[in-house]
Order: sequence, then C-alpha cells, then structure tokens
Amino acid sequence: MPAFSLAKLERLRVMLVDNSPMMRELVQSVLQAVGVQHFMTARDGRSALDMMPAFGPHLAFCDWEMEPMCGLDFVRAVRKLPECDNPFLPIIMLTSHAEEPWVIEARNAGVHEYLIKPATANAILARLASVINNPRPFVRTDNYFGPANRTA
Amino acid sequence: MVAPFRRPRGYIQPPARARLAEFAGTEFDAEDMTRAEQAVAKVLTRYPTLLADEIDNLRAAWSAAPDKLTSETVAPIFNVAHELAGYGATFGYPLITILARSLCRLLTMGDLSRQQMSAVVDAHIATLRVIVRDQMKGAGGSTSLQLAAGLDQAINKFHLSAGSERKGRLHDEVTALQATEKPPANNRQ
Repeated sequence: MPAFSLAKLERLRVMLVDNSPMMRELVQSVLQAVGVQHFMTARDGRSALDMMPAFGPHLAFCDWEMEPMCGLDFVRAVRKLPECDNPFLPIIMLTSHAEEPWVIEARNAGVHEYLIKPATANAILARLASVINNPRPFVRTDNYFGPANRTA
Repeated sequence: MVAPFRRPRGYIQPPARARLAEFAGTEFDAEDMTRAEQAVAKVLTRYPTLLADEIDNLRAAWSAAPDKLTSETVAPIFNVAHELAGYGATFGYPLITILARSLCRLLTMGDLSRQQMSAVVDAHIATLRVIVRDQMKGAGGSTSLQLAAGLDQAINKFHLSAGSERKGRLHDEVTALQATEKPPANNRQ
C-alpha cells in the first residue's frame, strides 16, 4: 500500500542536528519523500537543546562532530534529567565514525540507533522504521540512563 | 580496569509519545524507497563541487597545522577528513571514504610532529585530489589498486618511523570494495 507511510508520518516531528547543510538537506529530503513534514534543523548540539522545547520533536537524527557542542554531549544532555524536558527522545546518531569503540561510546551515552555515513536512503528509512516499530524500555543504573540494550 | 557491572534498578517504560506509539506499524515499500533515492539524487546535484572544495579545505587545514601535533591542534584537519569520509560514498566515491578514514586513523595516533606526518598526509591529500580529478567513482578499477598500494607504502614508512608495528591496509580495503561491485557468480554470462 504505497500511500501508507505518507499519511502515517505527516505528524512526525523530526529534529536534524548536523553541522553540514548538505547532510541536513539530504536526510530531510529522504524523510519528506515518505511523508514527514515537520522538521527542525540545528548545526550543533547546543542550538538543538535550545530549540527543542518549542519544537517538541518525536525523534532526532544527530551528527557526532560538531562545534561548540558535539553530538555525544548532546545525547548526554538529553538523557540528563531535569535539564531536558524529554529524556526519552529517540536519537539516531548519523556519523562517519565507523570503528567499534566509537559505536560503544555512543551506545553508552544513550543513542537508540547508530548509522554510519555515507548513509543511503535505504539505511535512513530502515533505522527510522526500527525506532518506530521496536520501542525500547529505558534503564537507569548508577552510571547510565538510556535505552536498554537489545540483549537486555 | 573494566567498570563493574551496575545492575539496573528496573526498566522504565517511556511515555507513549516517546515510544512513537501513534506511528507504530509504519512500513516502507519499494515505491517509498524509489522516491527517497530520487530525493537523494536531487540533493546531490546541488553540490557539484563539494568534494573538491573539501579537499581544498583539507590542504588549507594541514598547511595551518603547527609543528607539534596534538589531539587539539590536529582537530581542524581531522574534522575536514571526517566530513570527507561521510561525503565520499554519498557522492558515489567510496574510495574517498576509505582514504579519508585512513587519514583520520593516522591523525588520532597520538602526539606526533608535523615533520613525521608530512609525507603521509601529503600523499593522502594528493591521492584524494587524483580521485576527484579523474572522477574515479565506485571502486575505481586497477588504477585505484595502484594508488592504494602507493599509499600503503607511505603509511608503512610512517609507521616504521613512528615506532609502530601497524601496516597500511588500503590495498586490502580497495580489493574488498571491488569484490562487492562484482555481480554474483550465478548472474555472470
């Protein structure tokens, strides 16, 4: 049913946090193609945090390397109550860091999904569908608050 | 020392909005994918000189780097290389992604001098320029293997001078990339 996603996602509010205008435009175009209409864009984590309350995103795509606030610090800030009004925000990290230690660090900061650039349209939509259709419970430990590992 | 395991105090169910409950059951079909891929192609046509511009930025960042390279002083060039790694394959140049990632690995090896790194960084920048100039899209054929082998030599020389036992692996990475471009055996005529 081709029009299914178009109608379904028109209310989805997506935050795109990336210092590259091209990457923001690219992800936005992919999501618009499947019916997403509401976007907020920010060029670093600090700007995104400032704009978040007014926009009220359902989810965020976030780059890693940004100035002055990088993506990892943005994720940590979102997960930190009470500084953020939506600590459960699903976050998909979209980055060129492909090595395992980076992936682990992002997971330990509390990202939901990790997507390595170059990101294809297929990969972006696959992560989006995964976040929507496989909601994860959160856990709080002495040193972590974020989505539970899939193995948990 | 490995951090001790912290037992969760319990699982917390996020509120319905954060679970994206109203969008549950979203699926994407072949038409969605086609529309999305067309949208990507349209965006890319708006940035025709981006790769060449980024390589110019890489050269400029390296030219401005001080003699003593630390994680702080190397950040400007690392950031450009990191962006190039992301852009490369997005524009159909996976070789650029491979080379830019190689440069990022070298730049994060620790505190080194500019003199130690000069030859290997220059070799990466020169090879990146060749790939863009000659529009070596995809895996690039035999020329890309020659370029990768040449860069591996520069990388090996650098590692030797830095007292590292690591070896260049670009030839292997490009070979693996080329293997992914070959059609499956049962499709060959």
